[in-house]
Amino acid sequence: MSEHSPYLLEARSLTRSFGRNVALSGLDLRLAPGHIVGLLGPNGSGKTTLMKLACGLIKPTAGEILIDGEKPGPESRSKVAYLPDTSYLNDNMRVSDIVEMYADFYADFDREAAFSLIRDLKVDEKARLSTLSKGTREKVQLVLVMSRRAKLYLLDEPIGGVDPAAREYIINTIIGNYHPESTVLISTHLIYDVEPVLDHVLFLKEGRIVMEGGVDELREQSGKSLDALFREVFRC
Amino acid sequence: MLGKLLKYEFRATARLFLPIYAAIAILAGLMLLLRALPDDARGVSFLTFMVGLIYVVAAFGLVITTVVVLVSRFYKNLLGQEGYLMFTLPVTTGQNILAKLIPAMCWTIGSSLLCFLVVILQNFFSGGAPIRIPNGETAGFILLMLLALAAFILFCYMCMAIGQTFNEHKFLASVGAFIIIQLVLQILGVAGAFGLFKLGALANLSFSVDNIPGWSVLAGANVAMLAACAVFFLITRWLLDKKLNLA
Repeated sequence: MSEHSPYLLEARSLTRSFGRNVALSGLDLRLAPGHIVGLLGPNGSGKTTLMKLACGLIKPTAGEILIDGEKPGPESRSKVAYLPDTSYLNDNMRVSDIVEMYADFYADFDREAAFSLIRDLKVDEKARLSTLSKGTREKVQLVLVMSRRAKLYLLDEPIGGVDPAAREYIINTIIGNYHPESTVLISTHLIYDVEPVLDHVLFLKEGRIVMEGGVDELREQSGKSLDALFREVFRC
Repeated sequence: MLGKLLKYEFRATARLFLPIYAAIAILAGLMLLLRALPDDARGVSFLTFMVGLIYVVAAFGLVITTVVVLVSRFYKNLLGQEGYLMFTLPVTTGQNILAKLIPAMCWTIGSSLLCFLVVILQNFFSGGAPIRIPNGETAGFILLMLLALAAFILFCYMCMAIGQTFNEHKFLASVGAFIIIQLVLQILGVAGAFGLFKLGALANLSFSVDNIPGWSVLAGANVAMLAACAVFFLITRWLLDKKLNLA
């Protein structure tokens, strides 16, 4: 089963449809370690579908997706830190309970780092999640994910719901906790905010990759910022 | 890992069950106290009636809560938004299912015992028949009840695992799966019994209940129930492993 792969994430002709709606269509993708990759595309372009497939939360209609050379399963889950774009924690738990739970299950979780990030963000660790605002809850979820020493980080809209000041902190957190042997895949449509930290981008449109490359090369070739390029590619 | 999952599952469910358990225990205590009082006073008999009524309502509530919780914990925690966490933890799908099944069984057993708490306590205090040590047949029957309970819970899980494979109307699909599979199993059961009967008649065997020893019927039922548990568990695990489709 386990074949050695130089790629942390590899998709081969990956296709996923929901009824008549095709979310991903024959996607080929390879992500090597050591990159911060932007997964950019408008709503409904297949960003979330790709991440859910990588975590095994949904299965491909055709083609396959491999994490470190293996199909998503219990083995791959210990290598992937996933931040979904929805609230996925039990509302009745307190912030500190959730941190302890993550420490319990993930061997690569840094408990002290998590509590220090929580204090930095001025989140009350004794508060129940149900009492927190949407943005605060998103911060807690991001702290949990970034406090792991995973190989692959999948961040689905990590800054979508938070204020601009916190955005900067979150992006710095992502960079600060990033280490060279891992790869971070960030999906977003808030390109302006993440542009400075990306070294590679994938433009996703209607389930296909329409543009891909190193950020510097793309900027040089087009003579535009990513943000401007994005507006051009996805003009309605 | 199963131990950790169980710890969190018991914690999450205890906050629903323990308050009801406490309320029922208090009511049971009150009833025993009232019965100990001379019952010629009118007020006392009215009070006994009221407390008894509340006890029955609470016990009924407990039974409903138990069923609702065992279905909703599986559906919400594994197949709802919380499934994003449960299915990205480094645990196997089998462990995730067992971590729902074991607490569900414990709470159901606990709830059933609590509903009879008053009867048990009264029996104990009034020096009634001492609790008998179960003989082989009683033990076999208790085992059968437990296996039947596990089979029922796993059957519910299997139906929800089928329902979640749909892209829309997942809960409706789960209910539909429950009804259709129950119906098919009933028909197969009746057809199977009828077939056996016919076969017996052809072979000129007499199917008198007296001819079959009780223990073999019980053992057969236990084995069949265990097999049902295994089948439901394996189908559920396969569906959640290979056909997971979280909304």
